[in-house]
Amino acid sequence: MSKKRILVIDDAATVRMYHRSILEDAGYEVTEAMNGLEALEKTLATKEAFDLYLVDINMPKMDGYSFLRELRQQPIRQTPAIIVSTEEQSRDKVCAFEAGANFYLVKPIKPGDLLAYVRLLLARGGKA
Amino acid sequence: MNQLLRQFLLEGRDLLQSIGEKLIALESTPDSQELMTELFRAVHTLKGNSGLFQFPEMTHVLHACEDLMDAVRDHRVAYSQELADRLLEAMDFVSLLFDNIEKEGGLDPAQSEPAAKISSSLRDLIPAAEEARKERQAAGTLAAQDIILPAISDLPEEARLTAFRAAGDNGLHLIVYRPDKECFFKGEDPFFQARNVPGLLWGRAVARSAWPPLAKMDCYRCQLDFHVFSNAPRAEIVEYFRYVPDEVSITPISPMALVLPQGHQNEVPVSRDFIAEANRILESTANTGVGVLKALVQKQIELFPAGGWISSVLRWLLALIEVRPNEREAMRRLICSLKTFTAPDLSDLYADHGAAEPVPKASMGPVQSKLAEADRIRIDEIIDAQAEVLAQDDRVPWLSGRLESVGASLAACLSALGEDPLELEEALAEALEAKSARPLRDWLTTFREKRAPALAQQPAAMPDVVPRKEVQHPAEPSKVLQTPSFEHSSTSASEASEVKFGRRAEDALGSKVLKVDQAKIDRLMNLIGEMVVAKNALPYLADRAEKLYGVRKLSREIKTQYAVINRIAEEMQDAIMQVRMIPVSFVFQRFPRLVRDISRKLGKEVELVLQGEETEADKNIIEVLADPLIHIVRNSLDHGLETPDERIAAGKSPTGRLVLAARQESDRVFIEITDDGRGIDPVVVKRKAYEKGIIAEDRLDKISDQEAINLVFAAGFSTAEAVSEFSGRGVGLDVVRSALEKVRGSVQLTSEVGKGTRLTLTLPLSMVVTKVMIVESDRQIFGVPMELVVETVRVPRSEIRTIKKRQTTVLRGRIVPLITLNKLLGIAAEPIANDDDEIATLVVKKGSEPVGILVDNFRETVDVILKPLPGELSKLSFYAGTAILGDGSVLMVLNLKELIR
Repeated sequence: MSKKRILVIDDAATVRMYHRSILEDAGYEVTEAMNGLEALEKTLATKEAFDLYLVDINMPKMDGYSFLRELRQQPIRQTPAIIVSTEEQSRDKVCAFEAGANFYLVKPIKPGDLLAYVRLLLARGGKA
Repeated sequence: MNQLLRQFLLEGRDLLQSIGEKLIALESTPDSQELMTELFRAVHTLKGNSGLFQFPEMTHVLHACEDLMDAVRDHRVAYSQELADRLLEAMDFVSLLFDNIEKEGGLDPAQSEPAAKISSSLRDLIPAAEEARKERQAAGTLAAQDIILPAISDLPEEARLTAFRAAGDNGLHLIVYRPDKECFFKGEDPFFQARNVPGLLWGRAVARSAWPPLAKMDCYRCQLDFHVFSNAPRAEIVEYFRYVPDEVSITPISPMALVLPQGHQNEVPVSRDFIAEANRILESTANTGVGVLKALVQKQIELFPAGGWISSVLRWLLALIEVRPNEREAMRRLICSLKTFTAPDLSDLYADHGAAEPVPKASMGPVQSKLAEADRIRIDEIIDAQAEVLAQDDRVPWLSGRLESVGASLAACLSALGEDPLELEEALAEALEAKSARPLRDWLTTFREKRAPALAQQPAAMPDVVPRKEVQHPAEPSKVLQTPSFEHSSTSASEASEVKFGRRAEDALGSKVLKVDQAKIDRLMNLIGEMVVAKNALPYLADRAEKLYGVRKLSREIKTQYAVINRIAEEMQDAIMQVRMIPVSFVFQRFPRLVRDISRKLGKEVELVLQGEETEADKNIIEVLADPLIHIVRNSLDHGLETPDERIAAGKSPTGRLVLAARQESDRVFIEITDDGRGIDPVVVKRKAYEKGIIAEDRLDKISDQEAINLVFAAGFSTAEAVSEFSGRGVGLDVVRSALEKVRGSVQLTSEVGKGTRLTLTLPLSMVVTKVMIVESDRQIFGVPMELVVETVRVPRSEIRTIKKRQTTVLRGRIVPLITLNKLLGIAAEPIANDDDEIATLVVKKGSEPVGILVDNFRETVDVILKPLPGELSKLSFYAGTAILGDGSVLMVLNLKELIR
C-alpha cells in the first residue's frame, strides 16, 4: 500500500517542520502549505488525494475555518481534518467543528499523541 | 542546537521584526483593523512556536502579549502609546532571550524574574476582571507546563530497584505532584497528600527551582515538587488526586524503562569466565539455569564496590532474574554492558507495550482486544468530536462535505476497533439524502450506548465512579508534560518521542526562497571577478598570435571566442550581483523605531518619511550604510530638529520632518537625509573650526559658506555644545565620510539656516569589480577609477593659459585648472602632445569643482578587481590599489582624490 499523504497547513515554518519530521519519521508522506489558500490550491492540483489534513487556525490569506468550509464543498470533500490550535477554547472548538473539522488538538502536540490520532483517523484500509 | 530550534530562531527573528514594524505602523493608524489582525497573528504564531520548546519565560511573556493584543483587537483595551511602549519592550526582551538561546543553547533561569515583571506589566493594561480570568487560565496552563518529569537517570537507583521489584499487575506510575504555591492557604497539606499516595513505593520531595537566598524565601509558599512511584491502579491514583488534577502528572512507566545501571567506571573489569558462563546459561533453554545464574551473580556482587558500575549492573541483573526471569534478552544486554560500561538500550524490549500501555504483557489478563487502552480513549475522543460536529447547524453549503468527513472519521474508528461499518454507511447515505445530520447522529447515539457497558468492564480505562470528564483531567497534564524537550530524548516511556531532524531545513520549509550562506555567494562573486579579469587575457593572446606568430586567422578566432566568453561572463557577473542585491529597506526599517525612541526621549515631535525603500544595492554596500545613517539621523534629531516650542516660535509646524530617501541613478545609489530643522550656521561652524584649530585665521574670511559648512566633515569637528546621549561623542561626520569613502562612496552636505539640512550619500551599486580607465604617462600606465572621471578631452596646447602661475584652460565656458600627472607623481617629464598638438586631459571632480589632469594618452577602460596595497605599502595613500591586467602585468591604480587634494 502506498504511503498515506498528509497536508500540513500552518503559517509557522517551525510548526510545519515539527509536524513534518514527526509524521515523516512514522512513514507518512507530508506536504506543506503556508495558508488555507495554498492548501486549497495544492488539494485541487494534486492527482492523488490527501488522506488527512492538519490545519492551523490563524493564518494569513485564508484561515483554517475558511479552508475547511471550502474543502468540504470540493469534489473530494470527505478527507478527515484535524484542527491544530494553540488555545483550548471551547469557542474555537465549536467553530472548528462547525467548519467541518473532525478533531481538535492543542499545540504543542506530543509526538506520540499526534501519531496516535493520525493513525486512528487513517485506520480505514482503502480510500473512501 | 538542533534544526528545529534553529528554524524557530530564524522564523522568530523575522516575526519579531514584523511585530516591531507593525507596532510602529499602528502608531500612525491605530484604527487599522488589518494591521491589528496581522500583529495579533504574528504574536500568536511566535507564542505557539515557543511552546514547542521548554522556554517557559519566553512563552510566559508572549502569552501576556497575546492576551493584551487580544483585548486590544476586541476593543476591550484602547491602543495607546504606553501600550506600544510596553509591547516593544517585551519584544526587546524576547529578542534578548533569542540571543541567549543562540549563544548558550538555553535560557538562564535568572531571566524568569524580568520575564515575570514584563508579563505583569503587560497584564496590568488588561482590565481587572479580564485580567483575573486570564491570569487564572495562564496560571493553570503554566502550572501544567511547568511540571517536568524527572529523567529516569535522575531518580536514585534504589528507588528504581524498589519500584521495579514492586511493579505488579496494575502497572507502575511515576507521579509528579506540584502543589499550588498558595496551597497552605487553601488548607492543603501537600506532604501528607504525597505520603499517602495509594500504592506508594518510593517518594521524595525536591526543590522546584534553585533555593532562593534565605532572606528572600517566602516560607508560606510551597516550593516543593514531589516525585512518587506507585503501583496502584491508575484509576485509584486519579481518584486520590481528584481535587488537584492540575497539579499532578501521572505517567505510566514500563518497569523495564527503570533498568538503568549507574556508577563510577574506574574499576577492575569483571572476569571473562563469568561473562562466558552467564551467556551460556542464558542461551540454554533449561529453566534451572536461572537459579544457577542468580547464585553466580550474587557471588560477583560481593566482589565489587557498591558505588561502581559493575555492582550496579549486577544488582539490576539480580532484580531481573528474581522478578522477570523470562526477560533473557534484557539480561544478555546487561551482561554485555559489564564490558562496555555503557547503559544497555532496552527500549525495544518494552516499546511494543506502547508509551501509555504500562501493563506488562504477562499481566494483561483478560483484555479482549489487542487495542491499547490509550487508543481506546483516543477513539472515544474522536467519536465524541464527531458527535460535536454533527451537533452543528445543518444549514450550511458545506454540510454534505462535513457529513462525509464525519463518516470517514467514524469509519476509521470502526476499522480500528475491528467493527463492521455497514450500518454507519447506511446512516451516512440516509443523512446525505435528507441533508441532515440526524440519521448519523442517531446511529452514533446507539453506537455509543452499545459501547458504554463494554468500557465499564475495563476498570483501568473507565471506572464507573469517576465521571468521564474527570478521568481526562489527569491525562492532560501528562500530555503537556512530555512534549517539549527535544534535546534530551524524553523519558523512555513516551512513545515515538525521539524526533529526528536529519533532513535539510530547506526541504521542510516548503518555500520557494532559498536561504544561502553569505560566504558561498561571496566565493561565487570572487570567482566571477577573477573570471572577468582572466578573460581579459584573450585579446592579448590574439594580439600575440597575430603579431608574434603571424597567424591572423587564429587571432580572429580567438577574438570571436573572446566575444562569446565576454558576454557570458558579463551576464554571469550581473546575475551573481543580482543575488547579492538587497533593498535599502534592510537598513531603513530600523529607523521608525529609532526615531520614535530618540525623539520621544528628547521631547521632540518628528515625522519620519521613508522613500524609495525598494531601491537595491549590493549587500556589502547596504551594510556599510547602516552605521553612517544612524549617525546622521541621530545628528538630525539631536542638533537639527528643534523642540516643538522652538519650532512654533520660528513659525514652523511643531512636528519636524525627517525624510530618508533612496534612489538609483545609473550605477550609483543616492541616499538623501533631509530635515527641516534649524540648519547649519556657517558662522558658527567657522568659529568652531577656528577654535579647534581646524582652519587658519587668515582663511576664515576667504572661504565660502558652502566651504565653511563642509568643515563639519573635518576630523575632530563636532558642533554639539553638550555631549548628549545620542550624538556628539566626539566622533563627527568625518567618520561618516571615511566610512563611505571606504566603499568608494561620497557625502555632500547642503544646509540653509532656519530651513534645514540635507545630506546626500552617494554609493556604488556594487564594489567587487571596479571600472578603471588606463592612462599613459611617461611611458608608464596607471589606472584611474572611472567614477571620478567626468570626461576625457584633448586640449590643444594653444588653449592652455597660465593664470596666476597656474595652468588653466576654458572648457565649455568654464575655467578649469590643469595639473600634469607627471608633476603629481614627481616624474620629471612634460606631457607629450599628439600629432595635432593636443594634450590628453582627464577631467575629474575635486569636490564639486572640475580639475583637468594632463596625461600622455588614454587607453581602454577595464574591469578589474582592485586589491589594496599590502603591508607597508598600504601607507602610500596616493594609490588606491593594484590590479592584474589580462597580460599578467600589474596596474597601479591611483587614488586621485588624495593626489589632487
